[in-house]
Amino acid sequence: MAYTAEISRTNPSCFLFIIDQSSSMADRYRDIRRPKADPVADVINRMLQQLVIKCAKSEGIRDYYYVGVLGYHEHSVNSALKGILAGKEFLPISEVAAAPLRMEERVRRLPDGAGGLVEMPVKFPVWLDPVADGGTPMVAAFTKANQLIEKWLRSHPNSFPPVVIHITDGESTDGPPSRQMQLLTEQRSSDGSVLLFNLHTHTGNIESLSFSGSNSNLRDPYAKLLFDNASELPEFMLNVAEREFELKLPQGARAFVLNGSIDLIITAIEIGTRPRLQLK
Amino acid sequence: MIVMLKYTYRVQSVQKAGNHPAENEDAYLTPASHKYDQSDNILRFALADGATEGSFSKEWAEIVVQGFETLAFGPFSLAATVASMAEDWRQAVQHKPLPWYAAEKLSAGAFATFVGLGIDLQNGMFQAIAIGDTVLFNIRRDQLISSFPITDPTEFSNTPSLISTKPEYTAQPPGGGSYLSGDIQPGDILLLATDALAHFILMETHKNGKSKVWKHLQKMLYTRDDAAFKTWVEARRRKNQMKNDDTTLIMINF
Repeated sequence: MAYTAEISRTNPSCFLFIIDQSSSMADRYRDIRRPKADPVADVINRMLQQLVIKCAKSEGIRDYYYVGVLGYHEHSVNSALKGILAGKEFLPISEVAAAPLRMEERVRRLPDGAGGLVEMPVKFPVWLDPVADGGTPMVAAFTKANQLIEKWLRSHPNSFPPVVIHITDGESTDGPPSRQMQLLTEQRSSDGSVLLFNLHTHTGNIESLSFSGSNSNLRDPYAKLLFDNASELPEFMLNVAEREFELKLPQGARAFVLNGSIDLIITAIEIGTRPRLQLK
Repeated sequence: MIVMLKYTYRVQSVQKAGNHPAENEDAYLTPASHKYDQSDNILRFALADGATEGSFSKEWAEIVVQGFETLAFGPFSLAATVASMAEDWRQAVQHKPLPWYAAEKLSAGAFATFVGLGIDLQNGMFQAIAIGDTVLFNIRRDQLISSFPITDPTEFSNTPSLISTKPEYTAQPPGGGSYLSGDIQPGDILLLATDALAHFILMETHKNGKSKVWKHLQKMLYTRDDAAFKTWVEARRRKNQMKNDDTTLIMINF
């Protein structure tokens, strides 16, 4: 059965985030009035933080995961991590943990026990700053992703399959990326194919579509392309969606969001980054 | 004349394959590991399985089983006992500055599943408390007469009830913590097993009503060396009959 490999230090798995950093990411979400690039960077930072914490044990960090973050914008596809991690491709989660760019102090609202909320200062590690610059070279981004994943799978042939999370707000400016997306989801470990999440975000006031099982509602060829190349959510992710997000998704539901708000993008990433099994 | 029940016991624990023995997050209490209190004639055993998702889980599992020696675990005292043990855990783990992720993880708390067993040797009775999927089996005349708190292999899940350093996460009776009492007769066997082995035992007995897996375990624990149990567990893991997880067995024979 696919997607059952144990995730351990001797058989780690990996996540690759591919982030659209083109100039349209500077447009503001209507509800929160922030440029899209800002909360998207926040989301990736929070996901990295959660992965680190998940792997933290009393003696330190256990390298259950390797993580890569690719950013693509005008003429460039590169690791989006900065500081001493700049330029690194896949990193063991312990190296990510050790080198945030900086620690920020943020505010978290927590229940005060009397029905209200109380604001608590929390440490927020930042690895990734928002970028919004120029075109959308999606073909180049997925070509690079294919190279990284191929290399990863060569050294981890029996791993839990890599999960690739692609966040974008626009159309490719260097040609149709379908072939490269297809090649990506055809790559596999002995435990199953690479899982690709195509998450499209929009500033708002437009109907969103998420996790559907069919492309029949999609008129736009570009939306169809993102849908067609997104993976079907495996059984355990359908279970996560139902158990933790009260989303009863049909068999065949795709790892796909169109015109999603930032909250919908977060939900999709959460569904994609919860391990099937308890980490051991 | 009062006739005290006689007993012997054995314990074996094997860490998850791929881990160092020091990373085994199962913890147990046996009469050998504490000062047997002659005054109440209660023999105490406990077994806890620290949840891997938490950090400092081994420390928590250890505090819980040691706590069972002296603290009250009844339905009306459980909440206060857990709070007091959680304070001990915080004292034990907050002794040095921690990196950001360790501090964050610490604030999420530690979790364990747990079975505590008190045996009244004089009256031939036992009382047990269980939270989660660490299981107590009672075998009499070569038949499994009870398994507690889980009776069916399908009841094991990735989200068992837990005893936690965060009071809001500790399962409270009657939903999570449950209690059992019963009699003990000479010849009885009580087994305490963490989830991987407990699941295996229940699968075996459900699959084949005549399965006598405890006979095999007894022979192994009493007549062979310490490595035998480890070898046996590893073979079950290789055949995918047993989940790769920390695995502990306490066998008490009367």
